[in-house]
Amino acid sequence: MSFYNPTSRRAYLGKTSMGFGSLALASLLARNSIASNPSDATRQKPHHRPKAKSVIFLFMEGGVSQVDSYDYKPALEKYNGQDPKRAIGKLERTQFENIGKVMKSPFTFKRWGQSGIWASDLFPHINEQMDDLCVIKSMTSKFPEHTSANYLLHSGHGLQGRPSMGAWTTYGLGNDSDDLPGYVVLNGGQIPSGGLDNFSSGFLPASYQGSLLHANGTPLANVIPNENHRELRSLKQSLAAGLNAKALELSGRVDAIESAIRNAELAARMQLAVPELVDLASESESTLNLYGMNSGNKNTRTYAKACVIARRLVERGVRFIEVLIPMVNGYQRWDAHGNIKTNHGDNAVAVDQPIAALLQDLKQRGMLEDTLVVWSGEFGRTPFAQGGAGRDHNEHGFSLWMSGGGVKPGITHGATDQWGYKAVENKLEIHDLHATILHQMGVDHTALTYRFGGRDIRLTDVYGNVIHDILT
Amino acid sequence: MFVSAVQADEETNLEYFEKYVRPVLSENCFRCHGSQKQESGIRLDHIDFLRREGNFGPILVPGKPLESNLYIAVAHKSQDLKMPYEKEKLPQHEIDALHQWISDGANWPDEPLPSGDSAQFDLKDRINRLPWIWRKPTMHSLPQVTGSEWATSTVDYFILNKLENAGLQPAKAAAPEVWLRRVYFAITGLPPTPEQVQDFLDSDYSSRKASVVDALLDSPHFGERWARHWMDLVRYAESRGHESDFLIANAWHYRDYLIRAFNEDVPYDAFLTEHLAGDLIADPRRHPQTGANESILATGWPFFGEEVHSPVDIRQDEKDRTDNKIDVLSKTFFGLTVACARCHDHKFDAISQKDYYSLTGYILSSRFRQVRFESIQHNLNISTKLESLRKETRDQLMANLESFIQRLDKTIPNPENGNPLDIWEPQVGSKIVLNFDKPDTDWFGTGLLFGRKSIPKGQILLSEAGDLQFFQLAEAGHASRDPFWNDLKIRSGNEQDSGNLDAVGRSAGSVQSPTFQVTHGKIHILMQGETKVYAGVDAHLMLAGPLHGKLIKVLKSNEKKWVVYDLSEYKGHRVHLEFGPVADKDLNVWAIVDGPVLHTSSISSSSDVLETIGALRSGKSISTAQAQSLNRVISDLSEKYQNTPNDWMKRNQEILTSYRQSRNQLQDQIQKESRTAISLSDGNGVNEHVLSRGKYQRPKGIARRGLPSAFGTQLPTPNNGSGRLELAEALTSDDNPLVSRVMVNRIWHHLFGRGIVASVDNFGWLGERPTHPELLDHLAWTFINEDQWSIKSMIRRLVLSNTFAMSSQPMDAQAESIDPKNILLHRMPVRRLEAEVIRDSVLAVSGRLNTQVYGQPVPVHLTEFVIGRGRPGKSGPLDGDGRRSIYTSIRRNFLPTMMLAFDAPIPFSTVGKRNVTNVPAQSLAMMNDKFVYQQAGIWAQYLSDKFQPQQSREKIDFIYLQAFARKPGPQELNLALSAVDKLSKFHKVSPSDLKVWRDMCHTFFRLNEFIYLR
Repeated sequence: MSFYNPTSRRAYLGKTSMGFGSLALASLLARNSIASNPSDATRQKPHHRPKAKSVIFLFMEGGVSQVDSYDYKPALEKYNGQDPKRAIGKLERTQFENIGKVMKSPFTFKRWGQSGIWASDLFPHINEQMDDLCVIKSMTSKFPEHTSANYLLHSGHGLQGRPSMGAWTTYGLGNDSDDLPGYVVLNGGQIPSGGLDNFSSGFLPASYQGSLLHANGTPLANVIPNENHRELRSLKQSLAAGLNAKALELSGRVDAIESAIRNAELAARMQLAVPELVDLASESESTLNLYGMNSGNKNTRTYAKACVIARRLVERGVRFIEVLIPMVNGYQRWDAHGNIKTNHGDNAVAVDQPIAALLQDLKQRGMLEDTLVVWSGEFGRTPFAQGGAGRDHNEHGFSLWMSGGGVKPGITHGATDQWGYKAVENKLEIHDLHATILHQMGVDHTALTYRFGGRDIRLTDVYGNVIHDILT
Repeated sequence: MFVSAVQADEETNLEYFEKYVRPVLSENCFRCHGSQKQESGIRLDHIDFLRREGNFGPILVPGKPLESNLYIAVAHKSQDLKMPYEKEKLPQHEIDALHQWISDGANWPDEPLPSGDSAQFDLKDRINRLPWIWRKPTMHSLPQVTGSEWATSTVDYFILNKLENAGLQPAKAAAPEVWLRRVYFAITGLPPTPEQVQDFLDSDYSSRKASVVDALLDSPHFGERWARHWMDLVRYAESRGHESDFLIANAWHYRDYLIRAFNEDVPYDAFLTEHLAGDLIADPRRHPQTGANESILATGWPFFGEEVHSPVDIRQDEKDRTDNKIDVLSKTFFGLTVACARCHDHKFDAISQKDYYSLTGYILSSRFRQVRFESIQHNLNISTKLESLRKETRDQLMANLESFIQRLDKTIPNPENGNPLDIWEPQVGSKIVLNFDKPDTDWFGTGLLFGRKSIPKGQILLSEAGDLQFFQLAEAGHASRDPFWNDLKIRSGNEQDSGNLDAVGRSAGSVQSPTFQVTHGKIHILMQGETKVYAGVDAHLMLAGPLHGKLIKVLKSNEKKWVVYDLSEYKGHRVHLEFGPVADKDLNVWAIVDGPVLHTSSISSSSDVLETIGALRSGKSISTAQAQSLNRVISDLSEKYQNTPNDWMKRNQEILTSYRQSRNQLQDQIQKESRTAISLSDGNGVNEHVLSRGKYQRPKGIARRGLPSAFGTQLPTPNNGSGRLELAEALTSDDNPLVSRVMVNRIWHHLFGRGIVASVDNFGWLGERPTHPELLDHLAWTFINEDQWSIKSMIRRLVLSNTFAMSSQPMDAQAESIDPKNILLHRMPVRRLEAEVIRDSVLAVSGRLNTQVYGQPVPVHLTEFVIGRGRPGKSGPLDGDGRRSIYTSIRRNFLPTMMLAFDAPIPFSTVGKRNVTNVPAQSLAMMNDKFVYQQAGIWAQYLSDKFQPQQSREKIDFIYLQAFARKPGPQELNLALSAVDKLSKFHKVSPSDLKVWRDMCHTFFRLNEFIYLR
């Protein structure tokens, strides 16, 4: 076995639609022992047998309040209206430092499903799927500011410039789709704080950056041909192919140019595949109704369409899908500084039915078992009020849930203190979440590295432990 | 010294080891045979352990897999020894990899023994890993070659020598048009015009190469091309990213600085010095037309990073920002990854954690400002004249006073009570931050509004308005706003800082405190007047709610008194204070104390007035009591002779009248208007602590400012300044081993597609080794000694070599098999053009290119894929006004889709080597991007204007010349002509119709040849 073998290198390039980029990928991955068989680089071999083929990340930007959703704390009712410095003790600095009173949830909690997991009535539809959820109540972040927390949640680092987890995933595992990008961000309307850099490939090659996909309008950048006539398109395509072939005689058979030619072919296929993807005509009326496509609420309809497309992306082999929330009240997101009840109420109406439908739909199609659905904000909120009725950012303890993809259903994991303020039992970091997601995809987070600027860098930096307790 | 050819093979083997062998070992073996456990006494995580005998015999026999128990065990060659223990056999390819590695000699990188603890950092040992990078480059004699007729430039000898040693020949010379296109893109980043191609081909081109290169180096577009390369290093951007993507006001002056500097071929040592200390250079470089200070513009680079507004942990935020600056500084200027040593000693290189913190001191001793770069030099000259005028005036007044008093009756009474405010001391627990009353207090400030130093006690205060007979002395040293400069203005169009910082507002001038650590918290300021003060807590400057609003505050007092500025919540943080102007309000600042002060009862020992005058005239400092009594005497005398002026009074009037006249003349010469740019300004010297594990909560000993110790250079660490100028001197000294190598390697990288050290930003252990170490040295030596650090000379030397002129087609198939990665450069590589060059080429061939150089950025064109919070309010034009890509605004969170698709870097840190990917998004952009399609239409119109309708053939010839710098072959021409035919039928129009040619042009844009360089 010779390391530099031009023949096998060419043969290899011939088989891969990702071309040159994936050659680099293959050789890089080989060092990290994932891609041991570089004959098919778009389908990289994982470190171990994966439980999940795809991830759907439902990002609840702005920070959902744990004490108003999944973290039931009777103490807040008892101490409602009292001075938190007296009731709770020393408080950590918050973003606005406008500390109000201890505040009970305006939502009503009860036990749901066979598993009897506590949840408020904020998400009545999702609660019906409780027996498929694994609710984690002890997540923490490192930053109480949106942008840094968003970057941390997406890339494991609080500043701009690191690859996003979707980029790491496609870098590590390649793409199972022949005509769609491997990492897709479905734009529900709300681009998170920190902007498109949340979906960046950082120092990884550009091929791994998240592709922003719109449910309405032009779905993908530059995917709609300028020529609206198929004949014209193929006329130009064959002229280009003919002239490219001639030029190849001058340059010689150069790998980069050969794969550029193949990329043009792939691009042409994408022009057909992407519009087909977002065209829901083939979906049944009952499916569309289930998701809320006919809801009276515009935001629900927007998010429903994104969720249907998310499922269609999984069907097409796309590796990592992030779904962004709609613009419910301008840029407010889940960031309920002013009024927890109206803010969370309005946002929940937009996402509740579509998410519940997505879980049901995946399950009835037998897809949930190898699709990991992750629902999370970038941090939680304070158990005491900001001003009168809002809640400030709280990175010391918050809730998220996962479903499918080899995660135990119908359980909870970890706990915060009696206030829902700080994680105290099985305290977790974002790095642990990343390690676990990668693990479920069959990737060892400590071995997935990329050398940049003199260091072998990984998504989890030097941290992260797989949360084995929640895995099947 | 360098790796030899044999060692180069070893490198390859090492690469094989890292890729295929170490992972197998680490994943399957180390758990039982590593640092934690050593089952059967066997340990496999270092070659030294592998060389030991195991219970079964030798673990490893290099070259002999079947004698190596390692292989025997994993390949299950023995019934008694099967590994991994009680687990499945490893996959066959992993076993094969071990076999291959052992057969090849079992190379293992030279690395220290691992242990349970982190290995000890031993500087000498680390230096010895890569001794050459710490030694200054030396001149190498030209190596022996047989094909010396090919080798014309010295570069060629080094390349040819390696080729011949490997049994290779250089590729044939590229066709002249290929060379021409190559050299155009390399130097200016724009394609040659058809006329330029034709002209070159028609001439005796081999003799014209030098003049073509010279003309290109003289073109203003050279600077645009090479400035862009540099911008990748300093993560240039015009907004701060993060949540709201706030504007970095006036950042673009730095971009224009770069273009001018490259065009003027500022020697690299001067260029580097300007980057580190352009604000401290005694005689800065001036803009030839405007007289603006050029050197100072270079110091804007530290501030192009991301900035967070309202960080809750403001100290951590500062550490992160500083880390980014260190990363950029060390990679850009000396090709080392010092930032790896933030939390612990570098794992591989000769860089200790202390070295990291030694460099951070330079950042902590330097401050952000908006500088009036256009007017600063001119006005500094005026201020120098003003100072000497004032000194002369004061001397005259003092001499006059002296002689008058000498003539007087000697019994002048000593006044008893002065201003008790001038006699104070800090309470226990308080700390004096700044006391201008202390002689020779260091001055920190910017601009001229407060002069260039404080007013010492006893100095005559020249009243700038009012009665001309009187003057007073300063009874305590202080800083004072000088109304001479009250009319300074900001030129219109200047960008305003985002948030509340108002650095532009302070650009007329500020008086600043040294950096200190807040201990008491209630900052007492002895002042009079009005000021907008900025407290640079942890150098935080992105001031925009909700937190840290109090870091900007207006302080006000009609009379001299202690005003309290409460920074209690920042106890333990570093801070410096900047006192800026408010409208044209007075401002005097005497002292700053962290904590309350005590006023001791007043004065005073008697003193002799003439003695005081004598002391003042000879430049000695005097006591407060002396100053107060003399002042009292002056005012008593002034009062006495007020109504009947005596000679003394009359002479005072004369002196002051003449002063006023000269002063007014000077004032008329002030350059009142200026724009501002970002720059450094010097603070007091701050040395950082080594922070255990990088945590500010765990400070250890002080790391004095300086270069990493491996450089072997001790640098001064002044208390009254950063010491950046000395840092620049050390780096640009001929003895510095890395600066010249790193820069010539960058130039090589841009011209040949791969650096001699391929990892251009990292010459350290985890970087790559030079493919041609002697050549690298030769070039570095030449760069300093022959080219006098001239970048243009170096580029000229390289592009006129025969190496650069090689074809990209290999000589024969064998060449590709011997040197498949083209490491030895047996041919020129085929390269994809960069994002900016592709877009610029589209504009150039369509005829839309607007060749204007310099100026305000063109707003980015917004699409539905360029979205997010802080999105600019207005979209820029689709074609960016036809300007080159370097002029498109770089909003961190709103980078254009096409630039990102073609690997333009995200500006987060130094990227000396861009990724070059090949993805469908690129094809999609060339096929469907609205801009490309629009330009196809403009191109078609251009062709239609230039040619007769029936001249399809000529048009196609011309298109080929424009887009590919060559004529089409007959088959290409036929293909194109038949496409014209088909398109005209499809559109049902004549073959000369614009629709046909728009589609033709659009198709040419998507041809690979358009974006690849042979």
